[in-house]
Amino acid sequence: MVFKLLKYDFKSMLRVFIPLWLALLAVSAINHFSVSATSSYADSLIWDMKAIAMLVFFGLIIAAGVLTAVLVIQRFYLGLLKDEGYLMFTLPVKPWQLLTSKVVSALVVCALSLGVGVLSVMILGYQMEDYQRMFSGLGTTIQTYPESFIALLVLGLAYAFAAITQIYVSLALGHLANRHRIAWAVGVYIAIQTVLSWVFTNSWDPLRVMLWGTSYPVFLDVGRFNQFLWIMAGIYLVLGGIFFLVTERILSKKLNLE
Amino acid sequence: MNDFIIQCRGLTKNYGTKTALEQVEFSIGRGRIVGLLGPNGSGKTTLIKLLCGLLQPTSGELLIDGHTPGAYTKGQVSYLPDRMYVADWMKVRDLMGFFRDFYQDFDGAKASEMCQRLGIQEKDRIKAMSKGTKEKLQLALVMSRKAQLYLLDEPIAGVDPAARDYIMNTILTNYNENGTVLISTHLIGDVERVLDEAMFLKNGRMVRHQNVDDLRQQEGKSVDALFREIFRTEPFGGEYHGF
Repeated sequence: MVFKLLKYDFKSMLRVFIPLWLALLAVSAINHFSVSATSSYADSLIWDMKAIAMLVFFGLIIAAGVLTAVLVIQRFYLGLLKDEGYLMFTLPVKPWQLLTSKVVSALVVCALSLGVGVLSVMILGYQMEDYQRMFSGLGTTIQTYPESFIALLVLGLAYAFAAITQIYVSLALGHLANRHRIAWAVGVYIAIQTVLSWVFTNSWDPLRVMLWGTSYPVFLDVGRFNQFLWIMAGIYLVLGGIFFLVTERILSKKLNLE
Repeated sequence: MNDFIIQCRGLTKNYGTKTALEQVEFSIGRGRIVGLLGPNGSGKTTLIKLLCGLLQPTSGELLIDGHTPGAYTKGQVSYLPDRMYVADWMKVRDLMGFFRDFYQDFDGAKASEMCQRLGIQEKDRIKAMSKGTKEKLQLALVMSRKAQLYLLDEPIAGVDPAARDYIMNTILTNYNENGTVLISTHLIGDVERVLDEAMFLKNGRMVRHQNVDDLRQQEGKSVDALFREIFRTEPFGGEYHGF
């Protein structure tokens, strides 16, 4: 059932994202050619057009980032907590399946948006030799520090999981209020963020001393750096798990569609 | 198979300090058309939401086909809410695919035929449809399921008499005859002729639940007349006798 739900969640998101991603890639390709083709001219009109094209490009990059965040929020809020919720919560599926589908589709769309963003910057400044050097350097680094690479990937995923579920739990808790649900959700999000910042800031030094007996910077030692990455990934996974669980309980037991 | 499609015992639902349903008890058998009757705010929508698992009871027991509301019962229940619940980014064919994917009892051919009769094409976007067409599309999808229980929340509220006839005909000609239809409404005159049973809800309490023929015989009046009697409110300034 989760796969069937995913099919519709992807459909609803990709119909907005695919045109945006294509536009981003097209504008970056146009910009790349305009930069290389007109670099020898000092014609002011061409320079103006180049400036506008660059402005459009960076506008699209920002739009893609903002739209990704907005759509992740919107698909959860409108899809489950507003009128569409009447359809979704009367399907023969369990609330955890609905939630899993939302989390997975959001994770994939965020990853793809990031990928398209990186790709468009690469197209803009396309230089074959530079990229060959860059990728070969990256390959060597991964071969030298494979554990760090894997740990970084896991950390990235765990962080995204926690960030997405933090938004969902805030919306779900805000939804328990009878009025001003969005305002409550924003308040809950800020409160969670404040508590987490305080805990991270104040527990890092004691944790470092406890683990390694010193507050020596972890980044100067590969072994400790890897340990740090795994610990952070673990923390974000646990946090994401708690947010997921709380959201699932609210959707199961306290669903409050108007 | 359980003899009763719905069994309710001591069902209570509170919203904070407000009681929406209080100690509601009833059972409904299979193959019945039941009217859930009561004025606005009497608890009809709350009861239907509890039956389809959108709300959790505060106390009491509720069984659909012998099971507490959950994934199984949702597969047995075809629910028409009192609002638009379909995503407007979809096309009609997406929506049909959606119902086909999730409901094993969905009859796609029947839904297509009903849509054709309404002049709705599979490629039509839901966003571009009028409110009335969207409502008819929803009804067509809900009635294209061979469900054990149809929960229809105010299907004829806010529509003109011709549309009411269309809706009632669609319900009566398309429901699974082994299943039960529960229609909530306060427009008794339009549904009375098709009801097997009537349930009256007043301020969250079930004040009467009876076979319609027995009720008419016992009271010597129509269900509509009985409804007006039960729910009559003394108007401010006294009664007007000019009607």
